[in-house]
Amino acid sequence: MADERLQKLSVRAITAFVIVFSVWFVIAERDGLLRLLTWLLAGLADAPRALEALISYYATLPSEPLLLSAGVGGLAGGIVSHLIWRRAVRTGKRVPQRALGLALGIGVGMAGAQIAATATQHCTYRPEASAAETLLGVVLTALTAIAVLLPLWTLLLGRRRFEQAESGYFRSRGLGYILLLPTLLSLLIFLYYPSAQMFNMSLMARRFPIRTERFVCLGNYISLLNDVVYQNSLLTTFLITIFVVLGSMVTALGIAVLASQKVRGAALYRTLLIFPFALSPVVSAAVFQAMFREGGSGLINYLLDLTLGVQPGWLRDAMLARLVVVFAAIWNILGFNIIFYVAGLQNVPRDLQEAAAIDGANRVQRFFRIVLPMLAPYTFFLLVTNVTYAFYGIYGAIDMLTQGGPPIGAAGALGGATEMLIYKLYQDGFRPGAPIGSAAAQAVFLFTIVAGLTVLQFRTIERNITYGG
Amino acid sequence: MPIATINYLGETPVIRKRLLVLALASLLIIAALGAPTQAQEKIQINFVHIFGGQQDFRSQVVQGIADAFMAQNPNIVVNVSSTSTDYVELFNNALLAAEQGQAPHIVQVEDSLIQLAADSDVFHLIGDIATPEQLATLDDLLPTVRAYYTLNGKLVGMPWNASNPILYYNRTMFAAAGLDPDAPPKTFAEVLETCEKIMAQRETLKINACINFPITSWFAEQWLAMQNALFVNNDNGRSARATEALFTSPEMLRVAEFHKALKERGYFTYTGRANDYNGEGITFLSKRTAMTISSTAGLTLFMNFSKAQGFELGTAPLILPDERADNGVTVGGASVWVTKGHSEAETKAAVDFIFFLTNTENDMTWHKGTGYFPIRKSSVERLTAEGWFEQNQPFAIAVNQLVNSRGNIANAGFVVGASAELREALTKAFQSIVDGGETPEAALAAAKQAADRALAEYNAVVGN
Repeated sequence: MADERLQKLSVRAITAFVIVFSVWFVIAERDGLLRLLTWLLAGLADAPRALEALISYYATLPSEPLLLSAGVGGLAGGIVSHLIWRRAVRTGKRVPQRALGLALGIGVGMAGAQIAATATQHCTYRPEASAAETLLGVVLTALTAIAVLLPLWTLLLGRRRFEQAESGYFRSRGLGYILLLPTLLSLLIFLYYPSAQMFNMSLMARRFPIRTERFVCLGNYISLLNDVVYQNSLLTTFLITIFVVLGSMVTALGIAVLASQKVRGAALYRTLLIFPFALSPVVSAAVFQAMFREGGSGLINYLLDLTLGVQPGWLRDAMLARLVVVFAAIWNILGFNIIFYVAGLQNVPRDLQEAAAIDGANRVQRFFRIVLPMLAPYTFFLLVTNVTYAFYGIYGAIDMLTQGGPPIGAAGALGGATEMLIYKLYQDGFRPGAPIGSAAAQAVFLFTIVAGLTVLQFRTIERNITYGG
Repeated sequence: MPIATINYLGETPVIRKRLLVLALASLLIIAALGAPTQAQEKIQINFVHIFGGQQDFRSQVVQGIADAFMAQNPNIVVNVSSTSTDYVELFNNALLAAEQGQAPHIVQVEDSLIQLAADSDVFHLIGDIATPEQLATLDDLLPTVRAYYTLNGKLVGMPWNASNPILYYNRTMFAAAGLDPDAPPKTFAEVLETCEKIMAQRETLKINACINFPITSWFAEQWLAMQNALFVNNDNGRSARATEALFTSPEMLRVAEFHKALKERGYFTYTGRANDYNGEGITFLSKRTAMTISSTAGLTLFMNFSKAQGFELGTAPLILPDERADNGVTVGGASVWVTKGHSEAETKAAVDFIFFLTNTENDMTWHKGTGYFPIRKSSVERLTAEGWFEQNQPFAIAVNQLVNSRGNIANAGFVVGASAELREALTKAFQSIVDGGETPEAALAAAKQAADRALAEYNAVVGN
C-alpha cells in the first residue's frame, strides 16, 4: 500500500519539522522565553499577596457601595435570567425551575458585578461620585453582570451547536490541549492581560513616562464624554466610515463585475486591480500626499493650475480634506474587496442566471435579483471588515495626509476635520508626556463602539443571509 | 483514503521514544548554549541615537568617534545603534526598556523633552555624575547652548547636536525680479516689501507664492526669544513649574499678525500639513517660491539640491520680528543623557564617552561631518582659525547667529513637561489663522486656553 507508506512518511516529516522548529525556536529565543518564564512565575508568586490584598480590601469596604453594586448586578442578572428562561420555554427546551433559574441568575449577577466594582474600587457607588459617574458605573456594572451570564445563555438556548469536526481528531485529549497551549498563552499574555491593564490605566491620571499616578475613578471617561473635541471626533469617525465603507464596497463590486467579464488579459487586469492592497496604508497615503500636497509641489494642483488655473485647498479645506482621506482609504482597501467579490462572482451558479434569462429577465434584473443576493455572504463579510478597517486601519492615511487637520474653530478648539477616534487616540497616547489615562479610556470607548457595531451587524443583517446554495 | 483516519503523533511507541530522545537532546543543547560562555571582562555600554543605520552619513561620523574612544580605552566597548529615527519614538523606546531594567546607557534626548526626562526619574543628571575636571570643561560651552540644558543651575543633559532655523532664498530668482541677491530681507516688514516686488512678477517667475515655511511652533519660539519675550511664565518654566502659556503677549501677537499678513496678501503657501519640513523643502527647491525658512540641519541637502535644480542658493539669518529684536535665537537639537540602574564602572564609562563625544576635537569633526553646530567656544575659535567658515559661508551665517545670541532666560528656551501639547496648540492657532480665517487674537486666546489646561493637568499629575 503505497498510500499508507506515503502517509506515514509525511506524518514523520511533519513531526520532524515541528520538533526541529521548536528546538530552534527555543534556542534562538531562549533569553526572551526565560524572561517570560520568570515574569510568569513572579506573577504566580504574587497571587497569594494579591488575594490577601483583595480580602483586606473587602474587609475594610463600607457596606453601602458593596450592597449597591451587588444590587445593580443582581437586578441585571435577574432580568437577563428571566428573559432567557422565557425564551427557553418558548423554544421548548427542557429548563430548570423558574425560581431556581432566577435565583442563580441574581446570584451570578451579584457576584459578576463585583468584577467591575472591584476594578473601579467601588468608586462609582461612593457618596462623593458625581451623578454622571454613578450612571456610567451602573451601566458598567450591569454590563459585567450580563457578560458573566452570557455563557449561561449559550448553554441554555444552545444556539448554533457545532457538529463534531470531521477531519482529524486526537486520540488523547491532553495532546490537543498541549497544542492549544501556545495560542492560549499568547492570547492571555498579549491580549487579555494588556486589556485588563489598559482598563486599569483608564482609571488613572498619569503622564507617560512619569511614574506617579492618581486614581480618578471614571473621571477620564466623563471628561471625554463632555469634551466637545471628542464628540466631534466621534461624529467625524461615523461620517468618514459611512463614506469609506459605501464607497469602497460599491466601487469594488462594480470593478469586480467588470473584471469578471471574459476579455483578453482579464487575469492581468485583476492582478493590477488588487495590487493597491499590497501596499501598506502609510505607503499608499504617501502616494496620495505626493498628489494632493499643496504649495505648488503637488501633482494634482500642478495639473489643475496648468489646465484650469485653479488650485483647490485639498488639505486645508475641511470638506476637501475629508474627501481626500476617504479617497485614500478607499483606494487602499479596494483591492481587498475586489478579491472577495471576484471570488464570489465565480461562485454564482451559471444555470440560475441562464434560467432567469430564459424566463425573460434582463441583465439588470439578473444582477439585482440573482447575483447580488448570491453575493450576500461576501457583502456581509466585507461590511464587517471594512467597518473595522475604517475605524482602525485608516490611521496611516490620516497621519500622512492631514494629521487630523485642518483645525475647526479658533486654534482647533472644536477639534480637527479629519481627527478620527483612532488618530486622536494615537495622538493622545503616544506623544511625549502623553495623558495615557485618557488615551486608555478612549481605547475602551473605541473598542466598545466597534464591538457594538459588529454585534449589531451580526444580529440585524447576518440573520437574513443564506449561506451556500 | 480520507484524511480523517490519520492520527497525528503518538502513533507508535518507537516514535514516542524518539521524541523523548530528541526532547532530551534539545534540552541539553539549550543548557549548553544558555550557560555563560566566559566572564565578561570588557565594560559594555549602549548608546542609542536617531541617525539611522550605517547608510546615514551622520551615523558614520558617530561610529568613527566611538571607534576612536574604544581605541583609547581598550577595556570599554561602545555599542552604537539607532532604535528609531524619530526623537519621540527613541525616547519612548528607551523608557520602556528602562521599565524592563534594560535601558541603554546613553540616550539622545530632544530639546523639548528635557523636562520630561528630568521628571521621569530614569536618568542621571550630568551635573550630578560628572567628575570635577569634566564639569570644569563646561565653561567652554556656548552660553545659549549651556543655558538651554541647565535646570536649577545644574546641567541636566550634555548638549550634542544643535541646530537653528535660517532663511533660505533663491538668488537666481531675486536677480530675475530685479532685487539685490546680496540683500535678503532681515525683518518681517522687509519680507512683506520684498514679497510685494516678487509677486508683481509672479507670472514671469512662474511661482506659486513668495515664501513658504512649515506651520510650526519652533519658529514662533525663536521669534519670541529674539524679542526677549517668554513662552511660558515662571521664567520659561525654569524657576518653577510653568502654569501659564504666554500666547496672548504682544510679542506673540506680532508673530501671528505676520502669518495673517502673509496669507492675506497671497504671499504665503504651505503644503497643507503642519511641521512638514520635507514637503516645504520640496516646494522651495522646485522653484515654486522664492524664500523659505528651515533648519540648518537641512543645509547640506539644500545646497546639493539647489545645484541640481540649477539655481543659486542664498542663506541668511532668520528674519527678525523688527530691527530692535536682537536678543538672539534659542538652540534646537538634542542632548545626550545617562540612564540610571547600571554598575558604577558602566556609568563612569558612559559619562567618559559623553565628554569624549563632545570634546573640542570631536565637536569639530561632528560639525564638519554633519552640519550641526559646534557647541564649544574653543571649537568655533579653532574652526575660524582654520578658515573653515570662510570656505563655508552658509555655515558661518548659522553659527554666528547662535554665537551672537545673549544667554538669558528668553533664549534659554522653555522647559515644560507637556511641551508637545503646547506646541500643538500654537501650531493649530497659526493653521486656523492661515486657513480658517480666524483673527490672531481669537486663535491665540484659544491656543492659550488649551495650553493652560495641558499645563494644569500635567502639574496636577506630577506635583511640584
